[in-house]
Amino acid sequence: MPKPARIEAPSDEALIVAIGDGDRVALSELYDRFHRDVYRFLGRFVGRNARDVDDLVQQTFIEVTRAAARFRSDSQVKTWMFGIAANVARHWLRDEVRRRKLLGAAAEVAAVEATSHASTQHERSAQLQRAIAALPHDLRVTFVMCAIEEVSGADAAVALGVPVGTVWRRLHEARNVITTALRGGKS
Amino acid sequence: MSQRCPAPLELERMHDCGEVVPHVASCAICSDAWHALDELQAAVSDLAWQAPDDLQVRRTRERMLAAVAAGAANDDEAAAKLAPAQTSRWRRAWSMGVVAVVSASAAAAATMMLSSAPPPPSAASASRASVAPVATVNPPRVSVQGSAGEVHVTVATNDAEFDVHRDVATAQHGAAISVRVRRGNVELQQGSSDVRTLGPQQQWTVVAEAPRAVDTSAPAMRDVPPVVVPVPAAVASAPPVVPEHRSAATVGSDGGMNSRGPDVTIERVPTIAPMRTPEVPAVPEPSAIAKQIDRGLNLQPAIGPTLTVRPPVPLPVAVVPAVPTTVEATVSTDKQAARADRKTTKVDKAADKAADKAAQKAERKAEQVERKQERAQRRALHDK
Repeated sequence: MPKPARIEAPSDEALIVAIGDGDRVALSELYDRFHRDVYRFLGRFVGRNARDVDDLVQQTFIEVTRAAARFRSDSQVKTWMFGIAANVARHWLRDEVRRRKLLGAAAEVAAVEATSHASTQHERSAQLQRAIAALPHDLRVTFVMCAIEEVSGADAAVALGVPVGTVWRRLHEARNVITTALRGGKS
Repeated sequence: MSQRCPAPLELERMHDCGEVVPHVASCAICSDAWHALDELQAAVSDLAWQAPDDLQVRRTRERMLAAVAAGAANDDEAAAKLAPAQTSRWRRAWSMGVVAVVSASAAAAATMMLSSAPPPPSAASASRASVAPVATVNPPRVSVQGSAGEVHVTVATNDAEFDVHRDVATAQHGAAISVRVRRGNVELQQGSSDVRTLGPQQQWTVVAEAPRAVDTSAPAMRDVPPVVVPVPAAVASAPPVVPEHRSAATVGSDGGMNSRGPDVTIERVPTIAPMRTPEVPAVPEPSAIAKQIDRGLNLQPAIGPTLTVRPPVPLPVAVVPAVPTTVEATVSTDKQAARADRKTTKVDKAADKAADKAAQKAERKAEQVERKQERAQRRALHDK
């Protein structure tokens, strides 16, 4: 009995090309495929305020639409989107810090957000969240991308626009800082 | 740490890449570091994150798509304010779209012609479907209508609006392309020689006659019933065409035994560059054609009439079928077009003459001025 013909879904790269040509359906499809990954990446990157993460996810996909024409298939689409999400998050954090300073609130946004949720989390996870939130931006992006999202060093290097050696060095420094913070928390 | 121990950074890299390091098992320090990396990785993997619910995801998607649409609208507004040079680029792109539409429609006609049975009712919609993506080029002023054995294309540019009719018939009766101008002026070129400018309500029809060698010697062609070339309503309502002259033109006719009509291939002509002469492939000898027919083979490539249509400035459209043979064609044109051509030629000649006279006068004056200056210099020298 002949097998029914299957219609293959377009590849991620084809979707990006279509988005670059202004295809909204492709953008919707890309959102369906990757919104969960982007939510998770941003949630771990900036904290767990759902409303903020929503805004960041939305902004990330808008930036993806703008940058689609410049996409080169050097890295995976997901990694490329993580790079964009990291940039979006960096701008958001910078603005958020300014805003909170103006309001006289706590200086470190991410630490505050992590603290606010600490009571509802496991203690060790809360410590880890705080340690990650306290990392400098470059180290945090690299750590979240490589250690949590398990992106390969080479892909992360392409997405972040740095040499592979820089990725490994940042990852090493991030681990040192986190390990030290976790030990300090225990003591 | 011994000399064989890898650097901490290298150890982490090997850990992350999942490499097997035999040294770790035998070294307590490296083993501890490896286990610490494992623990940290496990802790990080267990890091909880709050997945968004479906409603949240849907809302974010809607807001994102709305924001992208709003951004695109803003881009369109910005594009509308572009400088004329940039808008002309738009125009060029659009004219290329027109060429593509005509090409696609002719290709659809070729597909219909190649089928041995009468085209099914879906053929028309198929031709529209193949054209529709191209017709979305802004502004979408191209309409294509397909029916059995005929494709009717209406092309409207900023300067002109005209219909292109492709009437499909068998090789016995040839094929015809007619162009009727509704508005503006359209420049038509048949082959590389005959160029006509049509005004409103004028039309030009090119009819290809079948090569006699094929017509008389093909046994399969005798079975083909005579074909009445369908005349589109728009052409029928046009002013009567007065055949003015017969001229040798580069057109082709179908020699295929299994195909019912000419196989048209389309060639894009650059929109801005001047019209170029379509390349004529090698003409097969009549004896070779007869031999092929006797063997029951198709003559490749089959052909249709050649006609190039272009609006005067700056949006040309071209329909150039493959031309394997040269036969005679009947070229009909309107008297008014011929008169207009003659008038244009006279005006051009008069303008050329006037320009020549003005140039000669200017040269004479310049020579006179030079002579005067020379005389003045000589006088000055003589006085000194």
